[in-house]
Amino acid sequence: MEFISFQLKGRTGHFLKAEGGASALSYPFPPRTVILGLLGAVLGLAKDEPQIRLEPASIAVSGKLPTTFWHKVKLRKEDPEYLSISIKKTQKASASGKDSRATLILQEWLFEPEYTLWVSIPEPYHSEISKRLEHRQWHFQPCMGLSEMMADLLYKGKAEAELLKGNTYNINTVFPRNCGEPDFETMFEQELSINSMRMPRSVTTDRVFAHAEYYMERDARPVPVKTDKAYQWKNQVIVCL
Amino acid sequence: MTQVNTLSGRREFLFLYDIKMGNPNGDPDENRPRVLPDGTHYVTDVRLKRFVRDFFKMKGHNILVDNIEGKTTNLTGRVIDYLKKNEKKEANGSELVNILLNAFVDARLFGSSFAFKKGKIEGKDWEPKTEPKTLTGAVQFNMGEVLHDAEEVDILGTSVFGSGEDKTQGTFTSYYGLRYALIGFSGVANEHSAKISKLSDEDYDKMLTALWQGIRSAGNTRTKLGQIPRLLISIEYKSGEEFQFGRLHDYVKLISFSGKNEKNWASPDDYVVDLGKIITRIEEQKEKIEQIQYDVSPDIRFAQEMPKEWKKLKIEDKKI
Repeated sequence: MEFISFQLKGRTGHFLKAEGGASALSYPFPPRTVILGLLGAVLGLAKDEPQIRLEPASIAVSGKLPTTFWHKVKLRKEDPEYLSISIKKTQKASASGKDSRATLILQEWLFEPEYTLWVSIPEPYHSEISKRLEHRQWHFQPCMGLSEMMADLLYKGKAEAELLKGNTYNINTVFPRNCGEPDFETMFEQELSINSMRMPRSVTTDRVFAHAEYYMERDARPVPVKTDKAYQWKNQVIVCL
Repeated sequence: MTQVNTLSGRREFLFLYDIKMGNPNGDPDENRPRVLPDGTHYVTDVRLKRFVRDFFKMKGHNILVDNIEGKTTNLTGRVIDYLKKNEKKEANGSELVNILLNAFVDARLFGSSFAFKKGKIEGKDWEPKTEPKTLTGAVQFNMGEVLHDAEEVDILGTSVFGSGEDKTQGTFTSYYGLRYALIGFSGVANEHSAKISKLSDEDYDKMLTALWQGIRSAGNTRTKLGQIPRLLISIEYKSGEEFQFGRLHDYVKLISFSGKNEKNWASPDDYVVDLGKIITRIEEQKEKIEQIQYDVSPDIRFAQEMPKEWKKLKIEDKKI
């Protein structure tokens, strides 16, 4: 299987945890669903198309846990005016719009997030994404979660990856909890710092999400895991989300 | 409805402006200048879009994201006005969206969201899946950043709002700002998104004018007075090219001219703007570029001459 690797970074990022309460918390790295959308933006796919056209996708991601800070925003609370599907010339309209309301919310922003991604998607999109990334030709503007957080994508290369036999490997990427057995004793000896989180993995065109549990090492250090789902890509051992 | 010629190619721009003893973008809680973890002061894209919208409104253009006497824009009324002016009986679905996009320049520039009620068309149930329901703006601004270390200042004073002519009582007041800041924004106008939002070349050019003239005319709060546009560079890519640099303001370097520490800078007299990196980068990609247009404040000094092939915008003479 061929993987294309590229770097994803921005000055700030925000990958909203939809289940958050009063504050808008962020996932520390882009969920798989966000990455699908990102690839769709580069390719020029319409919204909700990536989860159809780009699946089955193999995606791996690596990166340090970003620093976060709180961004305060005054958010207009009112919904847009609901329009009827049909409006006639003769109908009456209210003289003015709805009362404007606003509320102060906190958003957790990631500071200088930077990730390495590996992707393998179905043809013809795989060849297309490789060309676009290499030549810095993005159809739509990719972003780091919010549209004003423009993302930068830096092509790193492409290479065949070998699926490894079941064994213990030092995994360089974020990995699903169910991909194998972490070697906790070695992790403890090496003082690795593991973060566990539940994140969106896939989404339907009706915006119904499925989630998965993932492990991430805070400083992107390799984590020993017994698994039969690892790939050797050049000198990296990666596991897909 | 008349077919609109949308943006003919990708555009990218860099915009620098400065502020003195003011707050370019206060957080909505304490109204202090916003700051990133590395100490850089930043300005949100919303703040800059507000300047553009306010300027368009001042010039008589209709704005979707508006707030007239505390009320949101009445969309239904807007559609009805259009129907009456154009002698049409009704409008449905995506035609409604087109009417609204044609009516509001800020929707074409920055995007919008429209929400529809469920209803019936020709007796059949209709679900609100109008295309497009949500528009990502064809124009995206990066967050603006102050391009040097800046000194925060707390300005304390009193204000007098007497309840009668003979009453002179006052109250303490304070506001927070920056002693001086040169702020850099960069942005991209995407020609593919423009096909959806119906952004035209003319709209883009008007936005550039609104950026430049709108910054100076802004003054709705005390802390926003005295902002001055300093540099605007617009890159027009050839049709069909999809390349872009991205964060153009990262290519700008400021060099102290007065010998003062950056935090003590008070005006453009204290520094020189070094555009060497951006000029080099543009030269490397010149085969993809149709033309470069720019305008500058007369008070700004540069470390290099502007390339001769770059064209002056003459933005002070433009009207929208």
